[in-house]
Amino acid sequence: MRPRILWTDYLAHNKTLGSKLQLIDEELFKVLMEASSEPKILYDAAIHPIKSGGKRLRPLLVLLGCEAVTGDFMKALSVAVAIEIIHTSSLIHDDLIDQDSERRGAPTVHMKYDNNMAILSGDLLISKAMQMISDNSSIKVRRAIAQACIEMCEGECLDVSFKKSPETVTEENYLKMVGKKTGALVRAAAECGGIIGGGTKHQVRSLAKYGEFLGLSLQLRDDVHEILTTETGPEASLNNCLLGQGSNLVLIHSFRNSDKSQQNLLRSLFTSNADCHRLRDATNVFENSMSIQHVERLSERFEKEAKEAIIGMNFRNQRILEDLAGHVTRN
Amino acid sequence: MHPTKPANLPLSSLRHRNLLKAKLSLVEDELFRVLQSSPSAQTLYEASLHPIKSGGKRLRPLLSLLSCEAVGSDFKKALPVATAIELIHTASLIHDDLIDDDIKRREAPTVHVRYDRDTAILSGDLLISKAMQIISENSPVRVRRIVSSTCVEMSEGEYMDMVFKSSPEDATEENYLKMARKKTGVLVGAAACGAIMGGGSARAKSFRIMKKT
Repeated sequence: MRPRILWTDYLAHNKTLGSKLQLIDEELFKVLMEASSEPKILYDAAIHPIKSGGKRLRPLLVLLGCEAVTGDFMKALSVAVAIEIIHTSSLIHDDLIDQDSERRGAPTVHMKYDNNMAILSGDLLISKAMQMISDNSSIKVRRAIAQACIEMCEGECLDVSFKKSPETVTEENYLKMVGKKTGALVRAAAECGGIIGGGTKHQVRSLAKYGEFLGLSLQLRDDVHEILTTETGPEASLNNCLLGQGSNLVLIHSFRNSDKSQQNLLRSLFTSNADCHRLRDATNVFENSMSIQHVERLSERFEKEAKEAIIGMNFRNQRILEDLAGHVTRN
Repeated sequence: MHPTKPANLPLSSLRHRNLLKAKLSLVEDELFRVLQSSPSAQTLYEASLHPIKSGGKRLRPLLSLLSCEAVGSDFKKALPVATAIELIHTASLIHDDLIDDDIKRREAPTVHVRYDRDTAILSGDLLISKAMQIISENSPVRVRRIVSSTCVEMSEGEYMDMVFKSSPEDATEENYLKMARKKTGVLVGAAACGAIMGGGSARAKSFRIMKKT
């Protein structure tokens, strides 16, 4: 695997992005503090995952999309924050659905509080975001964001169904799901930035494409990461991913490109907790089917397409956007 | 809290009743159009429509249409916002039923019982997003503001209700009414959006306050 710089290190060495992220966090907390009301514990639960960190990729893309066409990005700040709030709402509900116990090094909302609190704090956040974009954004921005929210629900629903029967999923359908679950909001982020900045139709469309490919590339990198952490860390990660915390293209590809006995091995891993020995066998199956390489190549292809989408658009920060596409990782 | 039988509308004349029915059938068409199944996530759309198909009073959309008419405008102008309000109401029913683990609603199994918990969470989210899409399209900022703050208050109200249910001895009448206002009152009051769509202003506002109290 191509060595990658961690996202946090990348930002530490990148002053322009670092200062934008600081701005985003300041505004995010300011908005949430001002919005905080009674019952306090409900607001605490909603803010909890935002406090635990996160890449802030989506709000960053809103600012960068705006900067690309105007040079100024401050007027996109409030939509940037709204999009991060929508993202957080989806994380809270998805974690509950997937029964994930940790996110960003902290317990997930349904673990720290309870299931009901997770449902309501997610609902609260999406309503807050809706309130923010209701006030002063254009119809195009509102339309793009609402569309993304709908697609995210559809995508998560597909993901849940894929988990139940990974052997029936094709690569095409998997990518369609990722396009909705992850791609839609990343796409809307870059697109809204361009709209707010007053970009031309062409510019806005190219930013949307950039965002969509970036989202796909990011998700596939995550898929590989999930499988590979088993080599260095505890087998728990692979076990989790096999047992149903999100579907994974490495697994899907491997299933479609293995013989009967290997398929049986993988299938047995979908359905019950496996010991370390069998997990190592699974890693061998992935190697035989060259699935990790395949997904990595695909991720690189999307990264390339993201970069190509913004060529020739006279974007002021084209280099920054290109560079970013190559560096987005989970951590 | 939500009677399962259709309310007896206090209208003596059959003609009026038929007019209301005609209005509601337009709302019905809109609801089905908005939730037309998407081939990629069929179950999700089916689950979202499930509580709508099982009936319901449609009090909220009806009030929106009537409040539009009340200010002297064509009720059709309020059709989108009436639809959005019913979608939000349905979303809250799905999530509330899941939270309270109610197994029946409108004589039919609730979404988390008929489908499962995950589908109930996501179909509620989908309905909120669809409502957001509708009001994003063609309502003025005042309407968007009322609808979105209503959603915020409903989440707060449902949380308060949850707490009251687990420890009713701690609830005061004052707090109970505060909860009921947030959980139920504000969305009914949001019918004032119909009047805004119809071009009314001050009168619309008084309508909203009336519904809150």
